[in-house]
Amino acid sequence: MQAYQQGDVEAFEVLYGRYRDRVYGYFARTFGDRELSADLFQRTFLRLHQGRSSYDPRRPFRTWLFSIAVNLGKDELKRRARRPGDTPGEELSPVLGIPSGTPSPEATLLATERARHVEQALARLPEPQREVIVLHKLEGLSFPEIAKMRGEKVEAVKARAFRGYQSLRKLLGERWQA
Amino acid sequence: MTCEEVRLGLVNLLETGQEPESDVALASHLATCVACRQAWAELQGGFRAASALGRVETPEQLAATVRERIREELAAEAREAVVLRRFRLPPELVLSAILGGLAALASMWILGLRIDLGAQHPLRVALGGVLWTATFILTFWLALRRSEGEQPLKLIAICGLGALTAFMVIDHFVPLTQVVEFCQRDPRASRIIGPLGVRGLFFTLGIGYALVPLLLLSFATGRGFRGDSLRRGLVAGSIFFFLLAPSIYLQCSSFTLGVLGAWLTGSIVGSLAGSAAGYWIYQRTTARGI
Repeated sequence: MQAYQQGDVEAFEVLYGRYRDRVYGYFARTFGDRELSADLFQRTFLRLHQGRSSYDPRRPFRTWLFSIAVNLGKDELKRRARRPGDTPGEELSPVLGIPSGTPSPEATLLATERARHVEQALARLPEPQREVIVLHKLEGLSFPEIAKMRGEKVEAVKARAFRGYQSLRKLLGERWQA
Repeated sequence: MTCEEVRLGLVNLLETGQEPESDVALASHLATCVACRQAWAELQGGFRAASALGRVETPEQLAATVRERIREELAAEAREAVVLRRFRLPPELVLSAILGGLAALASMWILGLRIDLGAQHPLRVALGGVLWTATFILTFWLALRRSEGEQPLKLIAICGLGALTAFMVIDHFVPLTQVVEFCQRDPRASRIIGPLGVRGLFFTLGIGYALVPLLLLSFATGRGFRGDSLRRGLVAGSIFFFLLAPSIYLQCSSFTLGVLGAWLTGSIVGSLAGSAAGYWIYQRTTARGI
């Protein structure tokens, strides 16, 4: 990141390659809207680029990047709340990806099927619960980090995570095997 | 423990990867509370199920658009940085220009209190102002610029600036021209220095007016040096003279060429002799432990 701060194009490429899917995934899963996700994705990286001189190298980069993304997401949620008439764009297909490193075609098929089920269930959760699961489980952010990004109490985030995971499991139904 | 507290505690276990048995209070609550046991099973189930979620790929076109935009901005920044590096002025030069301009303005104002600058040819005043500004900027730059191993030059420049300030103050309260007039008018003074004539008076007083401030200032700044008092004296005297020259030039229409030449020569002699003597005296006094 420090090299990118100095204007190094290669350093930007490395960071962009490492984080672009994660940022896009966060927006896609939280909002489930292709156009909006693309717009927020662009704005996140442009804001990162324009504000890179203010980045403190002592802070983890991932946390800083997701702070930008979460803030943009929060603004979007507020904007939606103010203008409820806005129609959402094209919905994303619930099956967005499968875990990497799957060994065989059969296993790939099975994993895809399982991922599809979970994506469908996740998409049915309220946005705030979905967001906290994405940030916590998929991005590996801690509850205090998520709480700080969202400007909330840690207990509130934990309670939301609890409800989110619990609802996710319920939505998957009896036949789901971990 | 309430069920609410237990559930927050169970969420914490997701981060640590521990089982409720690791916490006695949690374990004992779960042993007796069916609802919390059920909740823990669901929480774990949901958490494990989320592991099935895979990576989301950014649409290629979107990724390329953002990449291109940022690459373009980085390239533009790099071009700007090259231009800025090429044309960026060192801060000490900017500061010297500001201080030099202010010093020249102040000097013109002090001079204007004593002589009528409005009566001078505008071109002469403009040229004098430009010369003064340039010499001030150069002197401030010598005093402020970052350089290693050239500390004496900084002090010499400070000495020149200080000497000019002292000269301006002395000349403002006891103007050299009025002293010359007094010497000519007063019978006793006229008897003593009358034989010198006007040119001689300007020459002699020019020496005195340059010598006194430089002697004092070079003595004051002498502690920054080791040896070579003559060379330092010549440099300090030259700086002072070049700072003083625009003042003499701005007043030159009031004098004949001979008087002006005498005054200038006196100033040169006084500057060089005064500064060299100041450094020499400093060395002598420190050598003798005075």
